[in-house]
Amino acid sequence: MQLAPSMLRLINEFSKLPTIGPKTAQRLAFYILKTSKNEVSRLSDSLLEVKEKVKYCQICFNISEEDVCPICKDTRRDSSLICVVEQPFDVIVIEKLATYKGLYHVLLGNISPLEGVGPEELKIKELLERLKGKEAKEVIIATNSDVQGETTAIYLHKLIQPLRIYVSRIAYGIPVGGNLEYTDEVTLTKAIEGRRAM
Amino acid sequence: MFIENLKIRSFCNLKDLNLKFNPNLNVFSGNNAQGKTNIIEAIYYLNKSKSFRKKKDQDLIQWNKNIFFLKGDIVNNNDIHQISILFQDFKKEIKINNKKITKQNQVFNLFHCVIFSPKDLHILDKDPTIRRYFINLLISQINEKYLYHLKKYHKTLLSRNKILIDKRSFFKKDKILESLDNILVKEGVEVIKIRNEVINELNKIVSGFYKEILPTKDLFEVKYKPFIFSDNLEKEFYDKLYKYKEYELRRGFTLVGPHKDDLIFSFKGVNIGNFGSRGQKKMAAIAIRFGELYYIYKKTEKFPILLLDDMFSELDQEKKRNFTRLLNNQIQMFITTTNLEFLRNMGFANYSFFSVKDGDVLKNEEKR
Ligand SMILES: Nc1ncnc2c1ncn2[C@@H]1O[C@H](COP(=O)(O)OP(=O)(O)OP(=O)(O)O)[C@@H](O)[C@H]1O
Ligand SMILES: [Mg+2]
Ligand SMILES: [Zn+2]
Repeated sequence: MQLAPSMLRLINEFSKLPTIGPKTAQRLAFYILKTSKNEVSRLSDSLLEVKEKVKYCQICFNISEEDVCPICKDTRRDSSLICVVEQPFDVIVIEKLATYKGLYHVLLGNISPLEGVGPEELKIKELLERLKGKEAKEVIIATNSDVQGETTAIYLHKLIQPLRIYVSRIAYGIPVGGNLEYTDEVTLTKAIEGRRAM
Repeated sequence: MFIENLKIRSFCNLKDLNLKFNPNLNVFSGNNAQGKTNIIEAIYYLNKSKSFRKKKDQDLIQWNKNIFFLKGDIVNNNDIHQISILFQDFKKEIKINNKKITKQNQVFNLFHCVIFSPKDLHILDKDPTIRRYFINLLISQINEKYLYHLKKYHKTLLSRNKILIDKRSFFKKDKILESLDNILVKEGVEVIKIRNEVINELNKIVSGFYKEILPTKDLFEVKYKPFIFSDNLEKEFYDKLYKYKEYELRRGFTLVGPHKDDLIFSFKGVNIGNFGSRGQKKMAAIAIRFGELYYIYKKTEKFPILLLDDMFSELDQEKKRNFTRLLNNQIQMFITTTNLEFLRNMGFANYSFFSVKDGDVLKNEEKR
């Protein structure tokens, strides 16, 4: 049986999403077909709304609906401490612990020679600019423990060291998987407390 | 520990089979090209999710079919675990007791297997790749930490090569290389240390075995030949990276590190790979498999399943006898042969004899 062209197009769009295979894409498309028009327009509106409203914080590059994100604006936070992470998602993971009171800097990626991603593509220049201001005294590098994350961490360390700022690296426990995403919250608390000088 | 049942669906030339095995000895006899080795392949694949003949997974699917499926019951004391592998759309799905698993080590926690096959002679070829493959596979089955370091080393190596081959001089190229060097050295040193330890242990086992099967006073040895070897591995690694850097940039890949390591087999101090007779090579290849068998036993306190593909056609009468003496009734064995008579006369207490014809397998004789 040949599917309607518009259905094929929708399936094709869904299957471009991460973790969605062809079968799931089909299931989603048929689900949309059955759903009321109201529901569907709410979904499509919210997709567009995210694209229109959400941008990156001008200071830390976390996602935000304002030019400066609530974390950067919060004067109770310790501005001498900056935690460097790869993705906005990592901020959420660390914020959930509620033990970290410093600021963040989101690189929006990692150095990945195999995928052709170099330092220029990341928010590294912006980080260095930030550090040249007087406030920051310590940087915690919380990139992942995989090869790209480690490369990024060592690379940053080499750049930041001459600025006389204390650099520490989040301490990882036994290697399993290695993505912050999979780290359960207890070991992550320990990791932040157990950071070591680089 | 043994495999009790094996279900096979559209795997190589084999018919859809439900086989019940003997806990000790299982012999598959039949003419050439009937499917004996494919049975061995199925058992090996159930354990390692790889073909021992280095066939691609896709090529194990029966011609004209589009999946293959294997399911085995592994008995450990009174525990039974079911392992299944479904290969479909270029992907495999491995389950233990019907639950998907994500790491091969979950299978290795249940059982191991060791294979002896005529292909083993290649371990003495000029090209060291096969020896590194042997040692990497052996250690990573037993030691998850090794696998972790090895994978990370490998990924770093690929990344580093990618930067080396990029002829453009771009922003902070040196700094990226230096960063990768740090990881390469850190992971590489771990790999070297573990290899060193394991190969030492392996050597003790292997040289002992060689004396048993080939009564001789002369020493057979397996020695590690690492690219980086001094007391200060880290310093030597950095020094060599520094020394070769210009050359590496010209060549476009990494020239120093444990990916250049080798194993040397020697008899009376003479390298068998280069100077051994065919007979010596054969014995060396068998010895190293025995090393693998007993090394795994030592580490896991369980005997691996032993797969002997066409082994006995390769040995003379006396060696066959010495060889079988070293096997014991705690080991489950799978033997393929075109000639049953020798095994019949070995006096095994428990056995099942199967005949293999055109992909079909029939049990002929059983004693338990
Ligand atoms: N994917 C496949 N589909 C169908 N047949 C296959 C497939 N792969 C291999 N074969 C066939 O299986 C047959 C049996 O191979 P196998 O190596 O098991 O023979 P054997 O009994 O061990 O023979 P020998 O005594 O020569 O070692 C071969 O003829 C081979 O062509
Ligand atoms: Mg064969
Ligand atoms: Zn911010």
